[in-house]
Amino acid sequence: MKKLVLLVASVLTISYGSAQTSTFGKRGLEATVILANRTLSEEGKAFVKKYLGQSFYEDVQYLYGLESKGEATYSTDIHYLYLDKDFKPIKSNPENLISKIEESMAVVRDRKNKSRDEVVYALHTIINLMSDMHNIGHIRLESVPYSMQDFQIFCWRGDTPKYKKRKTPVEWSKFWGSYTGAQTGTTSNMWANEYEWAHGDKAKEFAAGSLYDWAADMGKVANEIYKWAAPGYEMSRLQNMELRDLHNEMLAKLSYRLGAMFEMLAKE
Amino acid sequence: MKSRICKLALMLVATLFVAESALAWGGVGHAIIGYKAEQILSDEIKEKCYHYLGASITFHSSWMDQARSIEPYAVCDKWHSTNIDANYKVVVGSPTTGAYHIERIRKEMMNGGYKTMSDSLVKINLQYLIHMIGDHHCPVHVRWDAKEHPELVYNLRGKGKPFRWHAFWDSAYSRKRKGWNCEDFAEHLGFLPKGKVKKLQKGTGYDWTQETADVSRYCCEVLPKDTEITTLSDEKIAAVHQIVDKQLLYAAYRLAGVLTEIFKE
Repeated sequence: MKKLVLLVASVLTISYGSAQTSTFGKRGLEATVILANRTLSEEGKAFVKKYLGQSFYEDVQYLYGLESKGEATYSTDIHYLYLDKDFKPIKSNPENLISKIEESMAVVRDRKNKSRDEVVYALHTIINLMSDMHNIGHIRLESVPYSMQDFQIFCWRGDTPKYKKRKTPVEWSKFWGSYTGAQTGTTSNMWANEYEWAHGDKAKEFAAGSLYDWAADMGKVANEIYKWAAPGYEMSRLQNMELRDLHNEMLAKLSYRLGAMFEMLAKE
Repeated sequence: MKSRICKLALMLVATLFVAESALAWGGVGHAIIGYKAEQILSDEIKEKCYHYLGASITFHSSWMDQARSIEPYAVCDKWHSTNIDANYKVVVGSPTTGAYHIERIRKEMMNGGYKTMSDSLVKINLQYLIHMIGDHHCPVHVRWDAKEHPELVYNLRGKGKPFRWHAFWDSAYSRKRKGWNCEDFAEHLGFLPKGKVKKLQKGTGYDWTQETADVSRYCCEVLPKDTEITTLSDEKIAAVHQIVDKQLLYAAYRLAGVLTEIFKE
């Protein structure tokens, strides 16, 4: 009986989760590189094409691919951004995402003295870690005792009597992917269009500043979310729907910042 | 006792998978209609829609399916379909039907009416129209009374077991089209000849719902009671596709027509 209950619970969790892919979802992340690519100048596009093929379309989860094959030569802590109460990084390389990005940027800048493989690896790393930096679950705040990656929330199907009884546990790590994953039938290209239509007027604003400014911005976003997100949190359907805009904004920021990063590296 | 619990657990799990498909057209179907409508619309009208929606029509196409479970919008729970009477005619004037609200919102918003509304009201009205026009082209979103029309309310068969007629037609467009996305469907649906568009876009939500009711009756001829759906012939699948593809395309054109009617200066 206990085994059956556990089986049903896990299937329920997985079935809700399977309608949503992990983190932002493959479709959401692909959309960001499509949009980033659109922002590049001819010089930027040529730079990307030279090292990564037609575009950096398939590189968003490159490091995760290495890790799944057991080929990673680094600590997986590099996927996380640790910020203090002023939203500044508090741990140094190799334990902080920002340090690893900076290290990779240095390799790309020095590409005349590096092998092609080293430059390609560095670019892959930048893409993967930039996307991690825009994922709330990868941001660990000194002021918050837990991380979104580590607990479940409960989503209510609705709040009317007809729907109130359907409460589903969701892992936060799968939650943010829900907005792209759940929209079956849509394509990454359509999502890129969506981010562009909704946030294209803020492209320059999002891309402005340094890597540290972007990290601080995401830290502040995470801080706002952690004001209500906590283990066992129960999310209403209405709130679920309202977070869609925030989700899309985060991905739009990632798109424009990734584009700015590559444009800068291309010119240096 | 153990087998009873097992059955209950399996039903519980199955419900989760069936729940999404019980919504007319499903997310994909509505996204197809929204995406196609965007292909049909002029840039000028699209920009106005985006301005109020804050995003594309495609991505708001299923909003009403989510909103129906939220208290402020629970009133729209009944608007996803419309009743048909004993004489096979659309019931007119009932505020618990979608066709009524399609016409209400159209009238309130056209001829500059939308300019008298707050932006948030325009947005909600657009979200209702986008979804309801789609729903009212779905053959299973006309409400037949089982007592008045027992011949139109029945089950099909899936591997010999009862399979809801509603569930079949809701997702019929995707049968034998595994992996198709909106762009694939939009390309497949194509465009109507220009000469046909104006005539198609005429009429009211009631007219289109009446047309869908007639289509719904035809669906019962194509797939009568107890038809086994897992062994449908290619000819049957083609007939099914012909019906639903036409409905999706008509929905897209009529949605585009209504949006143009509202926003055209």
